Amino acid sequence: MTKKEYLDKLTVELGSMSYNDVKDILADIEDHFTVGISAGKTEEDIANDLGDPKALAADYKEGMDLPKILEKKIVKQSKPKAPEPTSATVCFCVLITVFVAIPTFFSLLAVVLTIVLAELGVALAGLGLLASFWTFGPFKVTGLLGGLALIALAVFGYALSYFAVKYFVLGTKWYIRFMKKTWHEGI
Amino acid sequence: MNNQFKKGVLDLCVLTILKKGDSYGYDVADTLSGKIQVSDGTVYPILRKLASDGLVSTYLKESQNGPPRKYYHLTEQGAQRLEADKKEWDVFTKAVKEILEDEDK
Repeated sequence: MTKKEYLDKLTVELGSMSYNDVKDILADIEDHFTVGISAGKTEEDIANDLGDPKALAADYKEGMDLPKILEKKIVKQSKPKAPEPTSATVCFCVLITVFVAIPTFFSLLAVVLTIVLAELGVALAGLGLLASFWTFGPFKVTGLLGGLALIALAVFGYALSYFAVKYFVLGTKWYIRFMKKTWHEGI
Repeated sequence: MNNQFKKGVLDLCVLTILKKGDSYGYDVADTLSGKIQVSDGTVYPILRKLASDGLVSTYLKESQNGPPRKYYHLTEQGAQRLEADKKEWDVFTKAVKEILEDEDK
């Protein structure tokens, strides 16, 4: 059997296992071939020594064949022992956070604040004009139209500031999640 | 060798091999199949199960030829399990030996 034939047969026999499990298992066995070949063995010999792919798949399935409750327990127990982040990961997270994320965060915060405050200013100016346009003498109509225009602008500004705040919060949350994931799983 | 015999003992053997130092799949398979008549493939499901039980951990290490290799490392929990299982095994084999020798007389 060649390496390809062996891996194909194993894939078929693993059948019902999840995609990630099968991918992991195949990577391990493929690696076994790689090491064997560099040690001077033929694909045929390696496949023979590995044993029947059907038996191998059965062994894998047996190992996974735990009651569901037990499985969850094991996952819970082994989870807190997440591997320490590598120094490359630490460098990546710290550099990105200090030089990209924090400046970006404050710049965007300033933009969002500008939008919100400008929107408030425009709304107050519009209300002010509407409240006092009849005192403008010959410019009454101008005052009224100006007030209405500012109110319209304020409504537009409200929509703008709503989305600005929303996406600012979403973006910040996303970044925190991204950093946590990178920290735990490496780059 | 009888399959039922092997099954329970192989975990113990793999843990012992890893106690001597971190190793990769091919090496563990080679060590084991050099002494016990098992196919090389046998160690992989065992290593996978030990890893999912938290008795061994894995990491990738650059190799001179080809892609990085997956190394297996005995965890603290694994070392404790090994010690306990080894004691149990010693008691068990001693008892079996006594029974068998008794039979011979």
